[in-house]
Amino acid sequence: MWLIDKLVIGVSYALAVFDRQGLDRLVNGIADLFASGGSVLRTTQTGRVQNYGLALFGGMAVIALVLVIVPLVRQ
Amino acid sequence: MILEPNVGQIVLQLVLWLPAIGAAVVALAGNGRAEASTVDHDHPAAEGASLRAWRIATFFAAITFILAAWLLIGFDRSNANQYQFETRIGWLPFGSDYRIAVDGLSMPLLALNALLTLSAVAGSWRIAMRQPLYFSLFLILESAVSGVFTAGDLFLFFLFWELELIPMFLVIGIWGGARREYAAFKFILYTVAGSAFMLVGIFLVAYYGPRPLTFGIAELARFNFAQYGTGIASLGGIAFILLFIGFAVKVPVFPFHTWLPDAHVEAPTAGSVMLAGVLLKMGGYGLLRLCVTLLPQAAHDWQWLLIILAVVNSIYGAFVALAQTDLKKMIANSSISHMGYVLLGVAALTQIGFQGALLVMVAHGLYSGLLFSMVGLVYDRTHTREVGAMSGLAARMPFIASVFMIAGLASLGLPGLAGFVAEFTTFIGSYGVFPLATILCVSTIAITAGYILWRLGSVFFGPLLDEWGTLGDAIWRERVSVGLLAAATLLIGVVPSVVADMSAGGVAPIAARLVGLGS
Repeated sequence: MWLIDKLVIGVSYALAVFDRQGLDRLVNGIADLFASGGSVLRTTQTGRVQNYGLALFGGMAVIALVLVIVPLVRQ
Repeated sequence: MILEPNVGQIVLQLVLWLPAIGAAVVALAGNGRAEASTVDHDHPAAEGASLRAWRIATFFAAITFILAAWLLIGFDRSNANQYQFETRIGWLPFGSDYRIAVDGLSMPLLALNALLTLSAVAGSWRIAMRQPLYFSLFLILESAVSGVFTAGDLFLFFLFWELELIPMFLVIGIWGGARREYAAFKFILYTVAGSAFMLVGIFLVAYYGPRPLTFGIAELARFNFAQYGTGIASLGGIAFILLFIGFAVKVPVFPFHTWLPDAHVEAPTAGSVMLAGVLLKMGGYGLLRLCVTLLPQAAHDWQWLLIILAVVNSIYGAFVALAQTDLKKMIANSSISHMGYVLLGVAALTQIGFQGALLVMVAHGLYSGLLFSMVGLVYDRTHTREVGAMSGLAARMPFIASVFMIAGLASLGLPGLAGFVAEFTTFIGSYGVFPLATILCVSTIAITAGYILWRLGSVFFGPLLDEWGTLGDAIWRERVSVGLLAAATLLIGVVPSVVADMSAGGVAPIAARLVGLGS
């Protein structure tokens, strides 16, 4: 009986810790991931037209490259 | 005895909207002067407390409860499988009408909502801050939840579902405990995230449903979504899981439950009562009314998931509850465990299982509401909820100790109280389908008995500590508000037919839709 008591209570404490420290942290961690992702993206908002222009041309270059490469691979 | 349809229709509309009218009256009537009578030597309320808002709100909640009880008595029980007292008014151009009605599935929950709101409002006389706002939020909450239980249109259902969030968010965020803002935001973010999935599910069902486009639950329930294919990856299977996520957050189902301990613990007593007693039932009601009714084939395809989650929920919740030393945290986690029985009953996909699930929702609504009220009464006196800090309180507060024990015994399923009838029906309904899962869930009752008897025993019995030697028992206002719930717990335990017969009729059409799907 004593052993069963200790076992059940031990499992329950372990699960309670998992609930708060594991599962809850995990979900909150996902939220933090988005928050920190946002702060990384925020650094790209510089207000400098040159940077935006660079991204614009960079993107166009990637698209152009894909349009060239994909037909080549298809053949 | 049976209400005339046109009279019942008016009574139902009053049950739905009278609280909202009361909310406006409470808000307009304002605070009034502080009354000396609120401060007696045993129970000093905060200075400047006024009872005007409390009185008006209790009046409206009481009238609403009387009307709801009239409806419960006047409900035609032999036709509980049909919508009664229906009001239908053309509303939105895309097939969504204002449709309000009750059947055997919604009637018990509607009455439960009215009873718990009355108890929660009447028990809140101690609130000493912004009383008019506080009481009008509770009355708006009552209207919104009644709307969820009576809406006969998916769009209207969703509207009431979202409306319910606002008052509860504010109640937790303004009158809550130390971590109230964290808990309030967690509550609303989880539920809104869940209802985003639910909304997609609703649109999917309506879009692929019958033509002309309709959001009417009765019309959608007659449509065969299995014609688009079967299996969990079919249209029905996807719509089912989208709706399920929305309800699973509310029930709550593991692993979407972590908002619950925070919200229930931080909310003021009346907020916890409404959360545990009524708001969780919206999830269980949605599972029965929408998931299983509209998509029986998908329910059958997803049955394995439901049963796994039911077992995990009841065992996990019970173990976590056993580890808590804070009474409110213990009861919050025991709610997770008991809502696992609701899921078990639904997962069985049998008429008796559904009936059991509905009865567990009603019974759990009563005794969990009562448990939270009793913790509130103890906390008002001792200003602690730690079990280690309290001992022998029954000597100073015999009434509180007795009613707390009644609620605890109902929670562990003692025959003669509401929990027993409900849980027994559920286990009967599910044993034939899942013997092993049922046995696992039944075994958690032993753990429930463990934490309830262990914790309540150490709080109320044993030597009385000197520091608690001057505490007083409940006063009449408190006795009436918790007495209502205790009486209802006893009534359903002794005369289950108050709600049992109509609940059987209410779930019969859902079970009929599952016949012939094979196993």
